[in-house]
Amino acid sequence: MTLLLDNADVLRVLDLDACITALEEAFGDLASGRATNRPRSHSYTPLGEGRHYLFKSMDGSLPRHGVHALRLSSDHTHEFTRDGRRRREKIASAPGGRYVGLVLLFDIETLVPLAIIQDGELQRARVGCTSAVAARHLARTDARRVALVGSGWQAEMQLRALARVRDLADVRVYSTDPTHAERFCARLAPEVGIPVAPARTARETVADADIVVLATNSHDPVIAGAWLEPGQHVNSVQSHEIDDATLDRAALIAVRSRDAATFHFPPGQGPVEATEVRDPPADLRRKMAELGEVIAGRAGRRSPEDITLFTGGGLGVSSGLGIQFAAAGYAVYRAARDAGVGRELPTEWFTETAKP
Amino acid sequence: MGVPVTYVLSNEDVARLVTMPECIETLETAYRDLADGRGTDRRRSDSFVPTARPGALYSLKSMDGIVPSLGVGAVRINSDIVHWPTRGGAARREKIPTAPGARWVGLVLLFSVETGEPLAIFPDGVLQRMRVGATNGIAARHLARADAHEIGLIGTGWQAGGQLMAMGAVRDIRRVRCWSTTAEHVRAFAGEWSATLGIEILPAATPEEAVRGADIVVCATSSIDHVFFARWVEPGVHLSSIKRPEIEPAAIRRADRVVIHSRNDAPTHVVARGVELPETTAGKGWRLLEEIDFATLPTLPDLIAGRVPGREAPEQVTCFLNNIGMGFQFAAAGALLYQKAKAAGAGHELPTEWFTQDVHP
Repeated sequence: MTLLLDNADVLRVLDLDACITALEEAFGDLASGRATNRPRSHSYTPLGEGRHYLFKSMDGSLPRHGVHALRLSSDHTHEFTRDGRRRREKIASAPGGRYVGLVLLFDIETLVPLAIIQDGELQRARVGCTSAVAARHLARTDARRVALVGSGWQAEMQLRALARVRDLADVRVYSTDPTHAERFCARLAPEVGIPVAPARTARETVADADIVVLATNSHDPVIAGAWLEPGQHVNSVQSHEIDDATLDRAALIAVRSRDAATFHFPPGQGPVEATEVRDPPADLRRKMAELGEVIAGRAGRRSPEDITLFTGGGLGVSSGLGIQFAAAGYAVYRAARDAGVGRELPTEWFTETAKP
Repeated sequence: MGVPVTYVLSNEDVARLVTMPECIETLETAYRDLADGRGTDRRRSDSFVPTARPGALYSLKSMDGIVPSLGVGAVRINSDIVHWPTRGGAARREKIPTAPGARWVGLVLLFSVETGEPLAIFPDGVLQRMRVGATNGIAARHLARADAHEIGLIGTGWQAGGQLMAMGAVRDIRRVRCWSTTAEHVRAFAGEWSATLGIEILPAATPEEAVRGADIVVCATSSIDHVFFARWVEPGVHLSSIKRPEIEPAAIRRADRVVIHSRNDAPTHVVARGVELPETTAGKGWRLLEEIDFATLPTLPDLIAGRVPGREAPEQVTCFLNNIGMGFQFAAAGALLYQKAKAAGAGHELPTEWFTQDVHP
């Protein structure tokens, strides 16, 4: 049987410890060449007025668990200018105002699709748990105080996952929407079992923190590098929220992959923002390390005073990786199988006797 | 309006619903999108990692494409165990059907450009052969002599049958002589396909015997070595190949007109450390036609759009190299299949909602 898992199923069975472990192993295997990752590809058709149909895919193999995952998105994107700034949004064009993103998980010995998983919650889990892996290896072992900028969907998972890798004492949350921040704190405090309180400014949040987490969809930097204090570790989920000073002050910049460039088809026809690549200058390149190298102990924090940074996409060199979906997908698939969660479709529908 | 549905179709559905002549017409029209620069084809990618089987690798291959004029995009995914045995002196690329019940795994997911929703999911086997056949058939329509009646066929496997269906759709084929490395395969193939197509199909003892005097030479093998050589080229022949290495470069150079499928012909290979890939080693597979400058050759979309002439004289030698498959073809043929499945109410109808989400991914 092939398991069809929707986002609710994923949330129901998601075990963050298992997900963090799977991601840690995956990045380690990628660094040792045991796992493979196929860089993301974008295929476009312009629809006019800044709109595009975008078919996106990435895939990766995790021989350790005997799985290969392909993640695909079938999207409408809209690029426009607001406040003199270029923005790009996804449009929910599927029936009922919905999005389309799926992870197909294959067994590398029996070939069959083990599961077809909606990618929304899995995407959030792989982002949050990957940040947690980075914090586990880069934050000081005695890190207890967290500054969180952002109180949205991603921020929630960042905090939940981080709480699995460090013995946290308290969290201060800043959001541009104070009401939203307050609700976030009220919801998360009981869950993580420590004080989670709103802060009035981002700067106040960062002061005295051991780990600074940026989880916003801001198009501008949300902290100033000048605010950072020696010994802090910074996790950032997307490219625009950190400033150049943050990059400069970091002793080490960890990324998911150095060569995770996106390939565009046909070249030069996609939205401007999606095809812009920021090539990091040599001084930044020198202090960059892949997360897998950090896990393998080939790079890391050298002193309690180092400022370390893990950035999901801050340098234009690091998109999401297929192996992250293989790792998180595998963890979720196993848990769903054990719990009997999900719809079962006959695997025979997806196999064939005709030689392809 | 009912609940939106996604069709899960089988190879039997595909075989029942799509005919070769329709597939040829649909693809020929769709290729105009590529010629216009409107269509999109994402170069194929192959990832390889070791498996429990010695000498065999797991391979995940994918390719995708968009046909704006048909309003669809498709991704074709193959989850395979691949090995490279030598048969009859030639190295081949073969897939081992290790899925339960000795089955293969190849899937096409078809999407709507207008809404992004998945329209259909189906195994790739039958459509795969259909689109390869149709592509070589379209080339033959433009490049073979109008009075071509005889085919010399090298290869008698799954793809060979599709090639005969396609050639029969564009030319009045009366006789086929066929050869492959295994004599009993040749006899079985001749028996099966002469019954299916109602034409004379004769087993040949050697490849030379199969191709001598043929109007169209069809190579349809799994070889990663050459199978057709320059010394066999005769005036007026059309040479047709489904796999990059089949025709030796000296034979290609004998042709007055050479057309390829796509210039986008270097797949992205992602390989685990320490893994050697026989098909990319020197003197094999992908490396074999390196001395031919593909970038200077016209493509099938160029030919269809009239940017280059087809055959101009009966004595000319023409050649079509189906050098790489395209995800684009699965989108085009998939659109045809989807229209037919919808009209016929074929396959399993699953709620599209199962494959869409309200979470912004």
